[in-house]
Amino acid sequence: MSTPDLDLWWRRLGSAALVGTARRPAPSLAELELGGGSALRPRAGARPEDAALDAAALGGALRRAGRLASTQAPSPAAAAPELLPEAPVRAAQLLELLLTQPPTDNTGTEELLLHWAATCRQAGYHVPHRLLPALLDRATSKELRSQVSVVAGERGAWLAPQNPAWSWFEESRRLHEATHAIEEAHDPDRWALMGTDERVSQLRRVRKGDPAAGRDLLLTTWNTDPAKDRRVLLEALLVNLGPGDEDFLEGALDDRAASVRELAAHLLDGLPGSNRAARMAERLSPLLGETGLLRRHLEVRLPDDPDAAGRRDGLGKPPPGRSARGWWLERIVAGAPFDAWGAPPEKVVPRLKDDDVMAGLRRAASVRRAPDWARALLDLGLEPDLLAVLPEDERESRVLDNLARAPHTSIPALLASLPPPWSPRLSAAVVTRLAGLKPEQTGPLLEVLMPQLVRGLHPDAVPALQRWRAKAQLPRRHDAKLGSLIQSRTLRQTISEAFQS
Amino acid sequence: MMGGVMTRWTHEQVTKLAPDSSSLNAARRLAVPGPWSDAGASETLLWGKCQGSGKTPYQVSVDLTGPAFRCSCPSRKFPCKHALALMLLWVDGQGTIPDTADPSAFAGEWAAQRAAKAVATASKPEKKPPDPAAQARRLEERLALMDGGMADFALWLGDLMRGGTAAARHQPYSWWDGTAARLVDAQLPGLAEQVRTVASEVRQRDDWADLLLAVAGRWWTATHAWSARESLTEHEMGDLRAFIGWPYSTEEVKAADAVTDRWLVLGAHRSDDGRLQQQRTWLWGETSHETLQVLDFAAGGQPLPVARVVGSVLQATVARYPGTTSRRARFVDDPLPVGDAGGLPAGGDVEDALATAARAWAVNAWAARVPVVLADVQISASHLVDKAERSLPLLRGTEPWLGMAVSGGSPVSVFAEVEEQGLRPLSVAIDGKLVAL
Repeated sequence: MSTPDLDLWWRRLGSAALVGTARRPAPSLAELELGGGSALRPRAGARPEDAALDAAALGGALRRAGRLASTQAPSPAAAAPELLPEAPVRAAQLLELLLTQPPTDNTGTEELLLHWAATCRQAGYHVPHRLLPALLDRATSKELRSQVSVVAGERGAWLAPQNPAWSWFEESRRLHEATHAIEEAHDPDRWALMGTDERVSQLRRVRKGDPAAGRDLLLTTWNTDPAKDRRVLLEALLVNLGPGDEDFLEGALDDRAASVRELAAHLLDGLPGSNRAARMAERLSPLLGETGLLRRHLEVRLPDDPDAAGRRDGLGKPPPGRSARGWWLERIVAGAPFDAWGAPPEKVVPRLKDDDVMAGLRRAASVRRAPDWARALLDLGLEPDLLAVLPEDERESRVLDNLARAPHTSIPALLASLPPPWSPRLSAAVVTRLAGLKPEQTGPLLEVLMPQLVRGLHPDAVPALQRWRAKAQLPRRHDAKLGSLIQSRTLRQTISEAFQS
Repeated sequence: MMGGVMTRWTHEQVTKLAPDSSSLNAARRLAVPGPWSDAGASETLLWGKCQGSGKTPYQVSVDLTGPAFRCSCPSRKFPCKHALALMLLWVDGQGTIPDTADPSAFAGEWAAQRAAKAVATASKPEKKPPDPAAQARRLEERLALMDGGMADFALWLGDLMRGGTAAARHQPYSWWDGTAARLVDAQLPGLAEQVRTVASEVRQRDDWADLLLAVAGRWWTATHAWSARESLTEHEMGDLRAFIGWPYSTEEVKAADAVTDRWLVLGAHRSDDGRLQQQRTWLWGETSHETLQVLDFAAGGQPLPVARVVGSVLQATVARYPGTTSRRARFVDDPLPVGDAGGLPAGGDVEDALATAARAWAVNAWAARVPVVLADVQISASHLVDKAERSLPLLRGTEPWLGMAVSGGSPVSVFAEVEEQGLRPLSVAIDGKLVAL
């Protein structure tokens, strides 16, 4: 019996069944030609519906048993062999634990997964194949995806594109490579084809090594890029901003997009030797009082309405809620070189009162990375942006000084100025500060601070955490948070060790 | 620790053994070095003493390849939290549990007892059935109910065919459910379950008309076979009973057809339709070369029995249910794990698998699925493809990703269930190990 005959007969039976044998009788079994001249004999005297059911029973059995393999599905291409060894058994078990039975809350698990992937990458291993599906499913944040796209190895690179749910993989991997590659020729042809995210990370990377080359790269497409792209690409010039960028930025002050003009003016704040800085100095000097250095307070007058040149230099519409003149003063102060003040920072800053002036100086100190002005300003109050200008140990000392005396509600902001992970010294100080809080302050603060603690605390602080937990007897909910924190710090250490074996 | 066992157990496998989540949580709290003493692990055994609230610590032993458990605690949970905790500590504890070849006395004795018991089981006397007269009366009542139910069902099938499947498709769910409920009342739960399944499939699937027609034909054969059941052999009756849902009692099965062998656990499938959880474990006899299925059921949130570790070899006597092919079996006693299979039995290509399935369905048209081993097949996102580029689609709801991840598109041996619409891979042999999918 050939299959087409059966198919045809089955379709006829199907259309009879669809409308019902009351309207259309089913084809007889006798019409079904079987090989070797044999045929099925229908039961004599069966009602039409019974005959149809007989036919369905036999036809269905024939079709099921006679099923042919498809020749349509192509053989899948095999994955390339791995270039790196598989993660050690112990590390694999820890990853499996994180994926299947996370021992901490979601924030903690995410951080541990990031740590696992980063350690795996540094140690030069790939994720065990059997854990790839679960890990790819779990990677929902941009950061984890970036790490996973690398440690997933050749097998991951082969597997992920086949599942639409993992379509983020290839982009993440390219982006990661662009961010981490040391030597890669910046081919202008490829630059033009990159997505915006990829171009930003490429530009930042090139700027780190060779600012001029980065600028040239940007220029190749500058006239055709849409305003939105020009804006985000221009922001990358902040990396290694220098006098060589002045001409380009000066030109960008005449850009057709307001957002680009505004950003160019802000970037020029970082170039105190520029023509714009000189123009700002000219605008600032008539505002400074003639009272000289003997007066206790240094008065700074508000500027008049800017002329066209002033507006071009960034004296535009103030942000909502700000007075226009105050805003212009801030922008003038931020743009003028420090020597327009005619005295060193420790002589100038303490004598200033005006908030707009202070804001301008803070802006100038941070964008020009000027530690001496930053220090003088930090003595008046801690500002994360200014801290970033200081060398790392000095930065930490300042946070440590403030940690003990700052009100507990400002602890999160204080710690935010130090990127994780924190040193053992700072971690210990944080735990000491938290342990010294009143019980009713601890819980709410823990809620806010948990993401920072999870990423920042050094594993050496775990014993101190455990002692505090035992002593504090926090309410159940907050005690659980603390337990989760301890668990995650311990596991973090365990993960690092698992890759060393 | 011997590499084979150590690498095969994972945290996930241990947690899957937990009978419920509260046991697992309790075990996690105990999975720290503190309460444990006298603990150790050999290639097949894991043991330790756990200090509980009482004076004497509980003695915990785990047979790793089974797995099988013993604990001196009074808990009725199986495995208890102590056994779970010991296993968790073993897989996660970074060598907290030392490796040694010599088990503690209590664990060694238990292992020896298990080995002796496995030998002694065959000669155990059977329980005498209670009151044959009452049994016969109950059977008669049941048969009368089933006769009525089958006759009704045949009429319903006739109505379905006369009125047309298109009209049936537009019936509300209650129409199908009413039929299913009458089948349940008539002690035909297997048919009832199929009616409910088909009711949802005709609404969801594009090929619903073919599916309904073929299923109606199969149901029709069951009604005819039932009326002619006097002429069926014992094994054909077994196939029919499995199809319509008339179970055999444990005594009936145990009394029958026992076979002792070393059984390789080929693969397992768990399903949960909300009402009933089902676990299907496939065994292959190293001597008999017979493939059997062990079915476990749990309803109403009860935990399923412990899953057998895929890839392990069990020394066991199983009792086979009456039936012709892909017979159901049950363990007569606790199986004794004796080792690890390095892979799967010899398999064929896609044509061979289809031929195997056709042969099985020729003997038992009521079998829903046929177990096959395929050799040298590649796993793609939608198919298994053999060397000759012949392929079979994966069944709906089958996740290909784990199989693809471990095989990487290279040809591998796969154990799978073939159903009418395609196949469901359950395990794949990689690097001398069997990976459960």
